[in-house]
Amino acid sequence: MARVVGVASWSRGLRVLALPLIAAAIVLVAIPAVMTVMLAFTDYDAVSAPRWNGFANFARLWRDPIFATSVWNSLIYVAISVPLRMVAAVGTALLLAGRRRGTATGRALVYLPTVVPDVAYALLWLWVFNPLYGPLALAMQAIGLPGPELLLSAWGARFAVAIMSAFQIGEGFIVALAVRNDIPHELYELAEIDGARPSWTLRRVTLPLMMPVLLLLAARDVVLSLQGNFVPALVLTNGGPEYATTFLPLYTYQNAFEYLRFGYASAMTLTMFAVTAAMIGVQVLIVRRRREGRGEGRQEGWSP
Amino acid sequence: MANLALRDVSKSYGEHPAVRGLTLDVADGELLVLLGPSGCGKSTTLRLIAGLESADQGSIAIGGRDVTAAAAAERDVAMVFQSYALFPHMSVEENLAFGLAARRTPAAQIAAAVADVAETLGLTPLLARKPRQLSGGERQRVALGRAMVRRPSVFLMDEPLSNLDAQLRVATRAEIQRLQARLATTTVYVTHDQNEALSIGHRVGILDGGVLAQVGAPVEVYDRPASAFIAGFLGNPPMNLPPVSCDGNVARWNGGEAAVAGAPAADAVTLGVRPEHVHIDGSRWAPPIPAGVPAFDATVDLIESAGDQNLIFLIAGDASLVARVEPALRPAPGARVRAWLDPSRLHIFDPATGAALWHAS
Repeated sequence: MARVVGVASWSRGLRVLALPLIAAAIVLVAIPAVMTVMLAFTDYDAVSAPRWNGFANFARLWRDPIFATSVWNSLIYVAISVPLRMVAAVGTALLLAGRRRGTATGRALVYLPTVVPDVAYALLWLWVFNPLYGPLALAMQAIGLPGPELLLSAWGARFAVAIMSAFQIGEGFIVALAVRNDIPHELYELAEIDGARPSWTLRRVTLPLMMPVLLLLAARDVVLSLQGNFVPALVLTNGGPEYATTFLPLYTYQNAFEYLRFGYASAMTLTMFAVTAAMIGVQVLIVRRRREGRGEGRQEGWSP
Repeated sequence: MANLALRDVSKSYGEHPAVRGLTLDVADGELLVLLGPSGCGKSTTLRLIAGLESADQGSIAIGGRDVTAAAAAERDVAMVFQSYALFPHMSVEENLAFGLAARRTPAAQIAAAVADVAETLGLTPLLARKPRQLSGGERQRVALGRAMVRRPSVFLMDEPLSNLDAQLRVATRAEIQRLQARLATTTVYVTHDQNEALSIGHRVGILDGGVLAQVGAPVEVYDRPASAFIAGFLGNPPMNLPPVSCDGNVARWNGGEAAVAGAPAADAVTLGVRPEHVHIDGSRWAPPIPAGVPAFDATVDLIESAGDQNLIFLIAGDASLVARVEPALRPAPGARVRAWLDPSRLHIFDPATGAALWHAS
């Protein structure tokens, strides 16, 4: 009996400990989320009271050419950034798996950019990409190449934002590292004795065994990438040149806090939510199809 | 088909020596078992032969070719791991084909070799399954099959049966013995299980602290152990090792004596006698006390019944002895019995080094 009482008070204790988190989640996430849904159907400038206007905001989104551009930009960005970030995270994890001289330092270095505050990080890259005195431009000049005026062209600016995001891969790196180190070393010893070349082992053993988690990581990265380009777009490119880096979060922010169109921005947020959900949905379908193709997820005959 | 020769091989991990000065020959087609407690260096020896570790010193030759510096892939060996090391994302067929596919063998040749091995091991109906859809015994067979497919010069088996339950272990033990005899592939088999070692090994090598303590046929290492360590490690229960004094004719301890004609005389030595050679007068498994063989009185401390035999724990003065007797003989604890040691099956060991000084036969 004493044991049962102990368990009960233990779980009550856990609930008390969870209270601050629950309170913060309600105030900072749940209430704003509900308000966003409601404001999406109003005209609201933060000064006068919100006026109900039905689906007018969504109709306006449909006709807004800059909104269409921002959706397009966001999709392009995801298509560039997610593969780049995945390759960087998995590549560094594979290089730094195992225990050799320097791996601990290497792991810390890979994680380091992730803990730099976003604005400071963006300012640093603004300097790196500066066409006059940035180290990138100077290095290119030094070897006689024309300076890469990345931020001055549409695709250059998009790639610049994607490139800087490819260094903030700490969490993905840690997860990939953990998954890689979870693969039993006997499998590699067997491959070694069997004469498998490293590239063959990578293709036939390492990547297939990591794949379930990598797919999950990629899905997570799509969500992160859709939102994570806000600070670089604001600090590095301010949406330019020619709206090339006006991504959904930046355009939403500009509408809300620069033009004070809170209702319109809320409708945009809901749309972004729908776009994100759709992209995750597509990935779930792909993963499920892959699994069924490989005969996984089904319970087949088990003989003792 | 190849013989295997290790010459003075040593390997240390930092300060810790794992294998010291190991010299060992395995004949072509022989099944040699390396036996020892955990940490004795047996797995390290196997990994050195496989090329997964490189020796600090000494040389390793397979089929007369020095492979000391050769990469694992160039040694033409196949290894069976304790964990089986099956690729979880590949079917049984893909697992079996792995070694050949890794070496870019033509597909038709792979298919034929896999089908052949699958047939031999009864894996044909399981070829499409994934490892997690197999039982432990089936996984073990896939691991064996994967080693066989490549037809290597040497099989290396690292405790291949320890993940199986007791019944399956005995059955698979016989299976490995049959397969090995048919393929006649030189095999080094590592285990910590003495029953396994004595039952399947053509020869058994016993490792103690990274040193090869003795190597010989199962009967030889069991009947003529080179040291008290081996005597105590082999046999279940192990050999009795009471301290005695010896005058070259009779070994004495406070409470009894045994005939050891021809043994070296010494004040303090260790007497060795297996439980099946400690006889209790009146046991049907023992002859009557022969004339001239000293007998002694002992008190029964405890009886362990195993169905087909009883183990009787005796106290004879300063010495504790275990006797193996027939199931029908069940003296009550505390009873006094007359006991004697078979003079043709006694051993004398050096108490300091453990080395065998004398065997009765």
